[in-house]
Amino acid sequence: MSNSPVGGGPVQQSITSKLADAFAPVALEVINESFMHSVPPGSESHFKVVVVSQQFADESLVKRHRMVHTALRSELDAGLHALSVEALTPEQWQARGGATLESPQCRGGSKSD
Amino acid sequence: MGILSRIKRRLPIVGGDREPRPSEAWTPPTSTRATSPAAEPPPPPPPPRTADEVRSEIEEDVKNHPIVLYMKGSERAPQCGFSAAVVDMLQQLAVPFETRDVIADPVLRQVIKDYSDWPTLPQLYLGGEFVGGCDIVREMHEQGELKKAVEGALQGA
Repeated sequence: MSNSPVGGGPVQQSITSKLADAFAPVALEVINESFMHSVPPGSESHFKVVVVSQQFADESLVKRHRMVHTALRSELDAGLHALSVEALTPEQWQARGGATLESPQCRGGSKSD
Repeated sequence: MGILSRIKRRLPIVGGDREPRPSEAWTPPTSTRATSPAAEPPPPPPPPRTADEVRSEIEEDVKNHPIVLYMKGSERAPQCGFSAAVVDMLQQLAVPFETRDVIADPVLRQVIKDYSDWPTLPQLYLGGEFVGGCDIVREMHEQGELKKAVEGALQGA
């Protein structure tokens, strides 16, 4: 699904390694969705991450997302424009057949940033 | 391509969605730019509200309205796919809701992130409680949980 070569740019690599370190995920997808938005080709501004980890068991959705935000604090502070998060337990991931939801298309709001 | 247009093209990456801190908030320029002597000076913009003032506004807003969506753009003209998706889900539930446009209000845009301890927009509040962003709202909607939460917020109002 990724629009980038395996590994991607420096931001994508950094996100991937931080999530891998923080959550010991059984599945991890870091997708650069910047191409869907009004930014130049090759940008690393919009990401979607799918993290499947046992650590999310018994945690609320908000808490799961906050855990991901915390792991990616420096990327967010450095100006990551959009971060879509799916934080699932292995059971949820399996029940879903490993499918990833599609992100909505941009409506141009980032042009004004 | 001129330097200016190249810089403009780079702005979304370099600046990204990192919001100005309240201390860096826009203030009227002090330098006097060369203008036509005949031109009337434009009326000064209202001074930006302080972060504390905006924080109080948010507190009042989420207390007084059962459903408040902080978003990019308006309900009728969302300026971000994630904001549009949440508007769409709320409209599917056919419930009345309030929206606040953070693009029109740069101070709100920063303060709501601090207030909610949440780095992205949109942000949905139900019954005064922070619910989450687009991903969480969508997941709740797919599970049928959003309808229950929205109805609960409306009944509590």
